[in-house]
Amino acid sequence: MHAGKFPQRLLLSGLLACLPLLAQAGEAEIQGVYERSCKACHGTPATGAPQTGDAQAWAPRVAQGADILLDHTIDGYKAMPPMGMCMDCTEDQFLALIEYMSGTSLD
Amino acid sequence: MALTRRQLIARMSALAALAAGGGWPLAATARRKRIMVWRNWSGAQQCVPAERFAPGDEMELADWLRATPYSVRPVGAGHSFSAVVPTDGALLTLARMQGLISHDADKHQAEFHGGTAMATMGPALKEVGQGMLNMADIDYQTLAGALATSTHGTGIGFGSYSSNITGLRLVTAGGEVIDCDADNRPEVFNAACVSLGALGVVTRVRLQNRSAFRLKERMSVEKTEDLLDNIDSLVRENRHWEMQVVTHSDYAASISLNETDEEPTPVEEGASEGGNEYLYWMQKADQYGRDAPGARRALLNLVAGFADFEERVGESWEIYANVRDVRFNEMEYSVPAEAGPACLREIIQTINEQQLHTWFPIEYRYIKADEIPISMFEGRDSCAISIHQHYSQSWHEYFGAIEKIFWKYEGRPHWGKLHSLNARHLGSLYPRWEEFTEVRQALDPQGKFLNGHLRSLFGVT
Repeated sequence: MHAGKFPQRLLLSGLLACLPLLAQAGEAEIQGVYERSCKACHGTPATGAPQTGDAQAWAPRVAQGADILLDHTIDGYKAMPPMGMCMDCTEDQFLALIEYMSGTSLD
Repeated sequence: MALTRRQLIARMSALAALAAGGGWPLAATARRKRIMVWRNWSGAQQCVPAERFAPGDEMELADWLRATPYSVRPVGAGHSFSAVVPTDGALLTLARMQGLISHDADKHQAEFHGGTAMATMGPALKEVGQGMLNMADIDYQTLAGALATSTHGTGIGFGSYSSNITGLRLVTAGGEVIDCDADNRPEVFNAACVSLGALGVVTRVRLQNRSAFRLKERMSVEKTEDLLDNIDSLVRENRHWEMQVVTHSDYAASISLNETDEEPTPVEEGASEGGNEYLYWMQKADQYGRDAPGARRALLNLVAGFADFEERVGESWEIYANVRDVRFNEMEYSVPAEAGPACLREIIQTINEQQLHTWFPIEYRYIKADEIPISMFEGRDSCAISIHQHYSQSWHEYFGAIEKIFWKYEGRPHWGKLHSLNARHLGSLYPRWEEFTEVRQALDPQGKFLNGHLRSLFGVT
């Protein structure tokens, strides 16, 4: 049920290499928040959530733009709880987390 | 804390603007910040807390509790439907206090941080050869949040999550750190097993588990009356059994979970687990058939007749938990187990006679009695009956009509779900009510952990 950890990390490293600004803006901090708040769903395919590093699954979501994605993150959307299990996250951190999981810049 | 990317960009933009001597135009292009509104999963509860705080350990938490001028409400995953969380004070999350702390292989016990996401507990326990005795049908909650509201699964041989606690750590309003169990400060331990977060912050929990195991799920659609006629054997002969009654039809989904050594079946797509896709048909039947009740019932009965479900086998936590991606509001009461069938029949009759507007199934489950003062299951084996309404629809008329039936059967409301009772009613439903309220008063005399909803529940002005 659970995706192998090693290939996923390898894929993430490759994606982050394409997002130098995210990497310099506290990658370790964002990865820590991801591990504690997002990974349980976005790292488990059976949850139905778009999986981290799955560019195909994220593409139509990213196409909706940062404001819609922030709406869904902060307000909750379908199975996703409001604030995505990160009740202490800032707006900037939510955006960085979306970039981290999607591997895409939201600018 | 390191700057995030956007903080970095915003500050660089401001500096560049100042250097150019015309700061405002550039600064104004930065994203306008939102007011950060907290909402629960259904969207029915919301608040704008003055502060949000996530301590990294108990010391940091205790220091903060002593210093903060605000009232405090702990929040888990925000999956409660009742107003247990909303506050204009401080919202406290244990998101930085997660994970397995230790385990005892001989006793099959394990200690977790209170903020642990329940979805992560099954795999963590499997690695040390353990599995939880029972689980609810979703695992979106955090451990401390699920325990605070006496969250439960189904199975007459199994209590709620709270009934499996063998010890816990509580950080009080005054910053005292209390380790308690059945021998050490038992009055605090008993009360803290189900506390609505009103006694303090539960930061660590030791749970009684068992050896890891697999489950097989069987799901079928049958006439509701046939299931009710056969209820005793369904409840006794299955490790876990529940039914989901399709409102405005004659049918219900019968779901049994039993231990197995069989090989796991392929993992389904999340949305098709647990009959989720049938919600689509129920919603359509409501949309097009609401004004023609006879036709709607015929259509739903026809769909039910074609329903067919694959058996699922997997690790226990994989089978217990389902994806719930259609948001709803919920009311649930627990009635004495023997009263379950009569209560359900009266609910179904009322929905049909009054043509109450709903299309969500009614969930019907059994839970073993426990000895926790304000657990819904204190002192009696119970039948939990849950009614749901799509999040976009008003629940007031439907829930109001059904709540009166629950009262008739001495029902106790689920602490995390919608109800309209207050201290005046609740005291008479719980023989050990004062045992809890006395501990609460002793640990938090200033009411630091109370919001308006909890003041109403506990009769605190």
